[in-house]
Amino acid sequence: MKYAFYPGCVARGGTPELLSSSMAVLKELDIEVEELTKAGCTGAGVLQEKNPLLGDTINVRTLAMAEEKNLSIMTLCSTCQGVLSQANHKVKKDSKYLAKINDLLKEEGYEYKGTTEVKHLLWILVEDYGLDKLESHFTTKLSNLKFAPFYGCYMVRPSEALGFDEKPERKMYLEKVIESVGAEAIEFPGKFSCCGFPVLFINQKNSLKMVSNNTGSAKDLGADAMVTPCPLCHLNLDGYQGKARSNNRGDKADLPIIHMPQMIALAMGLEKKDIGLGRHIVSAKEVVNKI
Amino acid sequence: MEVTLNVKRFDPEKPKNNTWIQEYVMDIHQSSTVLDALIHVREEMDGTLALRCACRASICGSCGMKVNGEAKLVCKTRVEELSPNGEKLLIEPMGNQPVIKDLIVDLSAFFAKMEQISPFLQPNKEPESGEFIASNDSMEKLLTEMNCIMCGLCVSECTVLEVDNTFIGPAALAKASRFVYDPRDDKTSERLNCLNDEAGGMWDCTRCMQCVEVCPKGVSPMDRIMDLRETAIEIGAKKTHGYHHTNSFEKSVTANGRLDESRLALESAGIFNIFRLLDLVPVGLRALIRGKLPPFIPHKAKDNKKIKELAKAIKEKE
Amino acid sequence: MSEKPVPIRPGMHYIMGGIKTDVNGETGVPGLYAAGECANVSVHGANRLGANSLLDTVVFGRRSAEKASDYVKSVPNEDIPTKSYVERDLKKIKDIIDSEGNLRVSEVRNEMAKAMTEGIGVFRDQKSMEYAKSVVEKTKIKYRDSIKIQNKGKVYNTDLLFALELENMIDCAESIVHGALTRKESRGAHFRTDITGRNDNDWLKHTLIYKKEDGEIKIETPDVTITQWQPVERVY
Repeated sequence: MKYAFYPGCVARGGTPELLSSSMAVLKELDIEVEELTKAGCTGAGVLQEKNPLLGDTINVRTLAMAEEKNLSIMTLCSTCQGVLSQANHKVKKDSKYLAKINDLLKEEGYEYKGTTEVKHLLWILVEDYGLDKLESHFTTKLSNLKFAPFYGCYMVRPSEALGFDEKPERKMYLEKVIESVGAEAIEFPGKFSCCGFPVLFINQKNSLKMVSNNTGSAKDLGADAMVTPCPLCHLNLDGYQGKARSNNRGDKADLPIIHMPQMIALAMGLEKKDIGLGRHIVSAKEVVNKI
Repeated sequence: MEVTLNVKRFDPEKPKNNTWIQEYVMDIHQSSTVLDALIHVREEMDGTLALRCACRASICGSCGMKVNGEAKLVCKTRVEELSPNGEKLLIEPMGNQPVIKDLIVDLSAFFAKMEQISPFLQPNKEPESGEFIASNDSMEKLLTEMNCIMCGLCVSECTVLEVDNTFIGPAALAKASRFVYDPRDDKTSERLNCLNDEAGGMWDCTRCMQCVEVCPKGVSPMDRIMDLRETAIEIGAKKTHGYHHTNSFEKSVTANGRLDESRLALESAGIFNIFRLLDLVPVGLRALIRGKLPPFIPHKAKDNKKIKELAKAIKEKE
Repeated sequence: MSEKPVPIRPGMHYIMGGIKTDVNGETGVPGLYAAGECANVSVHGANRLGANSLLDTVVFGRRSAEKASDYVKSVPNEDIPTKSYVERDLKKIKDIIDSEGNLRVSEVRNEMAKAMTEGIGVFRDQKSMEYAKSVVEKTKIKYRDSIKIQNKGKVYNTDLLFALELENMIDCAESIVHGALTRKESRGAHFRTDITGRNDNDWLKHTLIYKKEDGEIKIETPDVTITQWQPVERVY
């Protein structure tokens, strides 16, 4: 198995532990990746507000890079997954628009034909690798732990661009993976809600309320930690949990926010330094102790 | 076919235990919608159940409610699709709005916000020929916006309204775009400047896409909000945190090919806004200690020059 | 969906008749104005053509509103003795809430609706219309004597609302059957299988239905005033 690897800006920046844990898991599973080092940021939907054509062009360029290698793209981030999928969906539907973009890319020698698939590691594990096979790599069962799933908006919306019509079960993958490591996936009503990150720098009050509501209610429902396939959700839910909870609920940050690959790495019993739980702001010690 | 509806009831006249889940089991036609089933309950089983509906054909926008947690027009939702094997359906009133009784919510805030955006054309002068002529083309571009039937589903699911009811919300913003992009309206900059305000305006949207997902008429309110943002930037509306955020993002991506989070944080807050910068410090310091803060020397994509060139090429084409 | 038959049946789309008004929305009752689909300005005749109900809103709806507003300004602003009316209506509501019949409002309504669809739906003849009329008569009695409502509350009581609506529906159904039985021709949506074809010699007329205080129905058929536009047959 081989993928064109698109780690995204945050795994290469604010959450290095996501990258190290993902690489360790991929190595264990013998999944080969070739990083698209020349690829640009997806624009995260923000660039698209000001300059949608530039955003789409950068993304189609990335899709074309993978197409050239005849590989599907692997992402590690809900936002990257969503924005790349949206661009892919848009140009597949609109051949005129694709031609316009291809014209811009011509000089660099790219021409996208529309064949690249974009898949988050979560989807790859369930759809391509298989949970049975994944489970054979686990050395520890995380059966003492209860996890709240938190998908991140762009992994579930807009469903049209994410292929949910053909694969509606994609809305349940995170729970499936949580259960495969032996843990309990709690029924968490906020699993598809917004973490608040996009307005963190614009309306911090609202952003922090979202962090507080999400982490507080998961805690109230008995979660030991929250598991997310999105590093941007992680940044906000982890980094700002302390302030959010004291401002809004008058309590303390008590819910570790675990990257999905970290959870898998824990079940595989991989190296502590690769898993990188020590890099979190909200301590994940309790989670480790319970294993 | 047999169907079981679990309906969330609320009776404000009951002194206590005024909220409960009531189960209704009935036989309905295979092709029935959830609304058909609810009308069946109201007419044949329980006259105390209150719900709104009118056209039954997804044009009037009256029957918005939650089915299994998702906001839907129940006249457009077939029972068989959600309950192929007789699964129970949970029916609740829409979210983010106070419940009056059972499945009926109070829409006054919804309409007050609609009024706030002055939902009518405001030309600056009298028409020369007795009427304002709009080209077919310009109207076709507005078809998406004009499709709104004011059902309130987007408001029900809006993740911002969940935490802040001062946000003007997806429906009113989408309606605003309907007037901003109408060639007969002359108040574009007034409208945009007003919606560009720091509190409750267009920049408060988190782009979570709930509204896009639930809109039964393809209005895609969030995309309309993005249009408004783009135009607000274009016409040089007041530079808000939202403006700085977007601008910094573009600069970072075009300069390095990658997003530079530390720069984004600084520039969104406004380089000269000392208080907001200080506000970011505690988290930043802790992040630094844990080895989490993004590198101060921005990470770059290889060949980032190409992205710069693309940005330049697009600018030149425009 | 595409593999199974889709149930289809005709539905009511528009009411061609209504409360008679002039071009200013004025009814025969001083100070009472009608607008929209409940009004009949007599622009549509027996067959309202596509998109023309916009006239009811943007043209005559507006005129109605303007004239009503003028009227209100023109009459002295004195206290109107509303007490007796309020008391009458409150009693009516109380009577419905306290009614001890054995029939649900929906049951009574559906029975009448079914007969109206069968007897006076897309195609009608003397016999079918008389059948519809007889059911409407029975419905009146059932409504008076045998309905019950389950919801006794004061907040958003749609059970009560539908009872009040049914009373109005009976009035409408009654005028429809009387009007249709009076007209001995076919015209527009009034499609008789026993008397086919339009008869301009005898029936270029309006049908006006009045209901007297005692419930008696009065029917008038004044001539249509034709000015610029001659009536022609719809051929598409």
